[in-house]
Amino acid sequence: MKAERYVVIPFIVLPTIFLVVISVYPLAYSLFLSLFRGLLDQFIGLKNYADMLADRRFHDAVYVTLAFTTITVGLEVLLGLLLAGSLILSSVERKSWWQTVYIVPMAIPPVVSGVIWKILYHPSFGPLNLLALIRMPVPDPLGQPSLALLAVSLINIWMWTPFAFLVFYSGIGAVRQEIIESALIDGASKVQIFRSIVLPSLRTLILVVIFWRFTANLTAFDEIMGSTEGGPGFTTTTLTMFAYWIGFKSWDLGYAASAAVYLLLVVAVVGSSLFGRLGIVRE
Amino acid sequence: MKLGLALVYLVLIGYAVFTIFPVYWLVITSVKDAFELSMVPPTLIPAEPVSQFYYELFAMRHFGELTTNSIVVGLTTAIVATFVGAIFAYGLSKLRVLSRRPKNAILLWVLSLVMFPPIILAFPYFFMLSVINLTNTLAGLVIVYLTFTTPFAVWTMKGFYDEYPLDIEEAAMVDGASRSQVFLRITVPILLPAMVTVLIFCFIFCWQEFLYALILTHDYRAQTVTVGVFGTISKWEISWGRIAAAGTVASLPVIALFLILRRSVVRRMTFGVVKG
Repeated sequence: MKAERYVVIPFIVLPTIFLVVISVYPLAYSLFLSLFRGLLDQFIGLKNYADMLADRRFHDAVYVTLAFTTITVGLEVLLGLLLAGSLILSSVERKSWWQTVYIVPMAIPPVVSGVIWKILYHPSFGPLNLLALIRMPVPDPLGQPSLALLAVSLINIWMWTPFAFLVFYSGIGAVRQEIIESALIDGASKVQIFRSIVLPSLRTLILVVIFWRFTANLTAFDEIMGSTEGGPGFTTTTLTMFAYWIGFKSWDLGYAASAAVYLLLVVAVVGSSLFGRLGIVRE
Repeated sequence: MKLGLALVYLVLIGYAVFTIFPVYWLVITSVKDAFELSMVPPTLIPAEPVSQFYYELFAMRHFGELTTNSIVVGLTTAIVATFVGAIFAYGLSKLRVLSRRPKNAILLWVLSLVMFPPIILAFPYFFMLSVINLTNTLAGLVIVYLTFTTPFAVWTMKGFYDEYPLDIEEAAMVDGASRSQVFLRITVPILLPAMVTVLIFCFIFCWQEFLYALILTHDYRAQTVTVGVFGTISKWEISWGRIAAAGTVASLPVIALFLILRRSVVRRMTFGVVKG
């Protein structure tokens, strides 16, 4: 099969070059940009990186990003477990029907999800104004600095809990389902089954969900742009949004690129530390 | 026992309401006129639905063009990504010239390309596209969108090839056909349905994209629907009806696609890690 050797060119070499050109080269270019002030205005070495570490706004953005990611991923996993557990352990009818309903938010463009919740949270045009009827104070979740981060977290939770649910529910597999069903018939309690069968079977899947959602939510932007645009103040300004403002509003692309590189480092560290435990590449 | 089941139903129905209500609210807000919108308590079923906001979007705000842009960019990107993905994944799955180790290393590298933060590519692309005169063009967006769709297509197609027993290929090769002939005449026709699935998912990802489109386009000649939705939010004059109508236009087509593909959603969105 000597001819096989040349086949490597169209089937492996060319696609690799394609991806290097569209992805790796721009990535390297970003690293290069981060060594300059403005848009390649003046070479300043690693000064952007040093300045960034001393920048209060950067500290705030790191805090917002980590808080947002922890809250959202934590609740998405818990809610996903609750929903999947409810379906797995019960004799509810039409199980696939529930799945169909639950995946709807995943289809909606994230920026639109932000907009939807901006309308819902509106103190006078959203359903919250019902509170006024019973003479309760109407909150303004996106306008109050103390509530805004939780409010945008809820948007992300709305968007991605279905993902956790689906991974758990369909990932547990038909064989395990049967074991669970027979345990139920034998009269084992649901709490017992959940602890001794369901949770152990879901361990890897929980890691899968944490892996995907953690790395993705660290880069959250769309739903926040659609709802608060980072405000009020900087209370919902994530790292991506911070880099966006610096780059395209203050036009300091170099400084912004260095913020993005820090974000990349966080994602890479989190991603690779979780990835090793997934056993994705098995062969 | 009965109580347990009632509780389960409560959880499931409660969550279903939480899921669907915001979408329902979006749609009804888009058909309420200004008077009805300001009513307390808000009406749950619009008394006199109006289509005024949809008319405004398409007649005055170029939503027709934006929708077309999203479709053109999405389809072009999806076709190229699926094409490259099908070829690359075939090489990584079936060719025996490379051993497993380098193949797995390449696969991991491809996966890492979708994991990194989109914003980090926004800066260089903003600069590079302006150098080659592709700022605010559909072609420019297609190039950038290939950076996240191609790796997805590679991983997904790899999953299909690995599962599918292509013994028939071996037979054809013994008969003297070359790899490329086998690929084009046998493999591609067999896996065409799989490729269509990959293509639709790539299309959905492009349709949902916002960050790159926001940065790399600035008027209706290249803007996509998601940017159009964001554009309806104005600090000076807020028309909730118009905002909601735009959100509806941007959501309903993808919701429909998702529901059609619901069986493969989990699997595709975890890059085949979870077998649905």
